[in-house]
Amino acid sequence: MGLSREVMQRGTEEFYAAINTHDIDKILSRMDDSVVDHQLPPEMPNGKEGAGAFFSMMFAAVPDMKFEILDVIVSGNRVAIRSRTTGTQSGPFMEMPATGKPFDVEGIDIVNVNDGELVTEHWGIFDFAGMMMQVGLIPQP
Amino acid sequence: MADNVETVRRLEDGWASGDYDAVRGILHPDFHPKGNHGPGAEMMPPGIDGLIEGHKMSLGAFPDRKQETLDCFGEGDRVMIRSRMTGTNKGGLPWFGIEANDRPVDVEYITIYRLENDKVVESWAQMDIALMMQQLGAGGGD
Repeated sequence: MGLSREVMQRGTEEFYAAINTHDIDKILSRMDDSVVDHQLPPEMPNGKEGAGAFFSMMFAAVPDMKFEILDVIVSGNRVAIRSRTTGTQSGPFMEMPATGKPFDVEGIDIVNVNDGELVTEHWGIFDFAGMMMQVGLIPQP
Repeated sequence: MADNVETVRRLEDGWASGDYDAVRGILHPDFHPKGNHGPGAEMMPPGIDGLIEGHKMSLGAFPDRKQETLDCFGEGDRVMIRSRMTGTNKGGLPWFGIEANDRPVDVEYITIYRLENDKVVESWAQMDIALMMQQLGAGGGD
């Protein structure tokens, strides 16, 4: 059992391609029904519902949001991904007003998938502080 | 050749215990850190000395600072490690405009290390600084 390196790489690329379409149904179709997401804010529901709400919020705040994969580390059915995210914050973000300003930040994610290639668990750190500083929602230190 | 995952675990253990000799023994002299190595890291001198200065500042802010490894795996020359840092803001984070306020922080960070011949030559880190600022009662849109 277990997925090959090639399948993990392809699955990762397809998942990020789905994110870049901003098509929530397409993104959620790559997740197992029992998915656990450790990155979601505590006030959001977990699982697919929370993941859908999270992506909806991000795509509304950043309609031109794009991810670029910079590094992929595979170990069995687990993968760590370093990615770059660019976009313009042209919608409200977490009750903060739209700024119309661009940002360019990185994030690192860890994803577990099952043998059916569906995401079962996710951890991630996205540079929200950097994003908010670059668009001017919070001051630079 | 040592196992890269074990080498990275030893490196994080070195930071956890403040054993800078152990850290210097694992990091290549030309080591280049990138990404968010914690608040204020961008103001530090480059390379290993800057990281050690940053660690000392972190200890100044959080004298009870603790870190633990939560997850670690690797492939080829790269290793990812996910860690948790906890502490109490007893010293303040002046470079962030935050005074000592006894608030606890509990944040995770993920680092990807690249190794050559058992030495760490490059790293990319992301710490959850937005959450940390929220926990410290600063910014983050409050």
